[in-house]
Amino acid sequence: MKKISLILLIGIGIMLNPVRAQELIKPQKLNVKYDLNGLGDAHIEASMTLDASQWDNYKKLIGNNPDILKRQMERTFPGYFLQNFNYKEDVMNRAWTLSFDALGLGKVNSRGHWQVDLNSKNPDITRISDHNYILTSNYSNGGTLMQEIDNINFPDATSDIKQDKDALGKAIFTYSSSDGGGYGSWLTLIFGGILFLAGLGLLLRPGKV
Amino acid sequence: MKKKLPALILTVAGAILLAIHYLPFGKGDLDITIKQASYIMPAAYKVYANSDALNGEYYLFKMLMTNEGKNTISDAKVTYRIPNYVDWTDLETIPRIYPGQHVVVRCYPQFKDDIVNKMTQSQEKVEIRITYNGGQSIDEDFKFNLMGRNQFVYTDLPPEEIAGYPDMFRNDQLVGCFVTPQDPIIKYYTQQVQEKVMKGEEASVSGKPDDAVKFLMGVYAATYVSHMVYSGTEGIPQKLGDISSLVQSTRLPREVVTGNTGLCIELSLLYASILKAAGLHPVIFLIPGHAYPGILVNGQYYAIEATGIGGEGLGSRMSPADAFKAGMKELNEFVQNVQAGDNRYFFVDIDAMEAKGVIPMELKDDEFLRKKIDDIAASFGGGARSVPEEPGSSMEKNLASRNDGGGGGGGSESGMRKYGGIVSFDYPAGWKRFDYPAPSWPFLVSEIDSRDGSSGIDVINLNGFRSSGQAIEWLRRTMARSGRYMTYQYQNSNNGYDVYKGVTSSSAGSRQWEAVFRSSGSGIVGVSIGSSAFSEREGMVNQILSSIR
Repeated sequence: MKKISLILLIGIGIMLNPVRAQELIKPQKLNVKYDLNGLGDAHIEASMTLDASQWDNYKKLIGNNPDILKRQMERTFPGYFLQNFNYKEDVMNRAWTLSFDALGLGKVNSRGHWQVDLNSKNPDITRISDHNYILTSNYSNGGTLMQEIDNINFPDATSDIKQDKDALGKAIFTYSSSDGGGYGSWLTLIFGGILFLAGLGLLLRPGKV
Repeated sequence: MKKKLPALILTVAGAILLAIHYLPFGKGDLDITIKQASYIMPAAYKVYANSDALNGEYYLFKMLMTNEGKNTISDAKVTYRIPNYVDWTDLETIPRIYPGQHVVVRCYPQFKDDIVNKMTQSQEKVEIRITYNGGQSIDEDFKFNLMGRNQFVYTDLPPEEIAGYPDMFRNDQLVGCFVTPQDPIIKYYTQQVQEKVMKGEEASVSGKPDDAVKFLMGVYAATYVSHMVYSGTEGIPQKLGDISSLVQSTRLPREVVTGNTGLCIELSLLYASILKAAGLHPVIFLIPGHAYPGILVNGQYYAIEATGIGGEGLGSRMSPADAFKAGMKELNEFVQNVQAGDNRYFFVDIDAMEAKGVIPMELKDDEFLRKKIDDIAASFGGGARSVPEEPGSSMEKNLASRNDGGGGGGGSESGMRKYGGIVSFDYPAGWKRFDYPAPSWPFLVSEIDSRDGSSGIDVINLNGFRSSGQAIEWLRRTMARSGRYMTYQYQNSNNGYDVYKGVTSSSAGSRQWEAVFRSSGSGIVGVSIGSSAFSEREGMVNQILSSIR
């Protein structure tokens, strides 16, 4: 998944303890939930909880313009059309949540499988269940170490979910979906196949002598 | 025959269902929505061509295709062209689009290298063709502005979206496209400067800050002796589709050299090109109404005021040493403004932007321009020595004064060196000083480390705080977020300073420290001295503390 670039907010002190690469740094966590539907669209929800000084800085930067976050998301996800933005703050817990729909996250590839691009090489993926995967990534955002936890939920209508790579070596998910067939759905394929084979079987069955 | 009739019906019904599944019956109602770029800057054609550059945010268009019919659409193929610039090109073929499904196709246009010969702005048309279901097609088109190669448009946001200064200058991340170290003309000029002005240099080989600063001043000396002059221009406001932006005509580095004139951003681009051609790490500092070049060496930034060349018609001219001094003063102000949260102050790290896909344009060699470089290089005759030296401002003196800690005065007879700035104190001459060692933490003004790394001094400037207690508590909380845990105890007040003692621990170990803080005009300044072997170094700590003024 795309690393989300956010306006942050975090001053860091290194008094008497210069930064050394091998030191353990506690990252700032960003949770992002992707709920895919059977037609490749996704409802995305990003959320973050800040401490008091971060929240103060965040409010100074965002002010009354949370649409800045919308623009940041549009730049983070240039490959999709984003709509239905919704922003919520839980000021007493210094937390915010931004949700929106991303159209066209999944598409059918040349092999006829549904495909979702993860836009990164060798991501750290944990399978939680058949339809739920967690991606964890750490990166620096304006000098702040971020830990982004992407929770990807495939719909029940999907099956055969596999992790793979595209031609450029970037990670992808491929899967099958029984949704979205219209008249050309998988039902027509299955029933059509059964009827055709059954009829053919009867036709070719040798008659009684 | 009658006995076979049910089987025949089953077979035919099955065949019909299979045909419905595989064949594209019905019209398939494909809805198209296009989001387009209002303009394309030829200088950035390699960014527009690369879907990975800058996260893919610079595209010509992206198109949302929605199947609003009841039938599956098959083999939807999207092609486009830009007459006179890009022939019909396949973008993508989507095997199936199910009813209700959305598909997004993006276009990163592959302009030819000669696009950089386009000198003036024009309006061009993009033609898009979508064919599907083996014969059906949809044609779309839109117009956009193709700028001239020198034109730089500052933003890609419509006016109603602009919330502040950074939005107005959103495209500053593309200035790296004008940094052309691979331009044969710039390479040739760099060689001439290295040979005739610097008389040989090893800045990129040695990796020493002194050598890099000498190089920076050598480039300035080259522009000085060739009588390059500063010439300012302003951006012109233009409406480009939905966008209203300042559009500035920016000369390429080769044009600055051969034209022997440039404004601040153009001189900065020239410096960045030469520095990069010489294997150094250039940066460009951008502040309201001005830009100046700099260099990153061993984690430290250095800057020079490139426009110090002024010009006879403009009055005074700065010597290289004074231009460097002015640049470092501006850099200091830059850091203070960043620290104060002023988002109008930022810098472009050319190497970092290149890693993100901001690649310069291809420029061809030109015999005429080489001849002009030869003519300019003839003025280099006396090398840097032909630059008039002013008392106390030669390159050597400047470097010497910077090495002594930047605060004036060399190492004292007792083996101590003086630190000067927001506070002053003496520290062991053998310790290594780093100014603004972490640009993202601008409150850390200086870090001075002992040779074995076991001891160190931090000079801290925290704007906006009214008391030392408030400031140190803020430090404690912010450090905790980065895995450093600090405990401290207020001791007393002495000579206007509040004295604290404490310990900071992390996975790298613990350091005991003693720190003093006092109010400054805009906040709190402080000095802390710490060591992992504090008791053994206590005498030295007290010596430093007693020298703080």
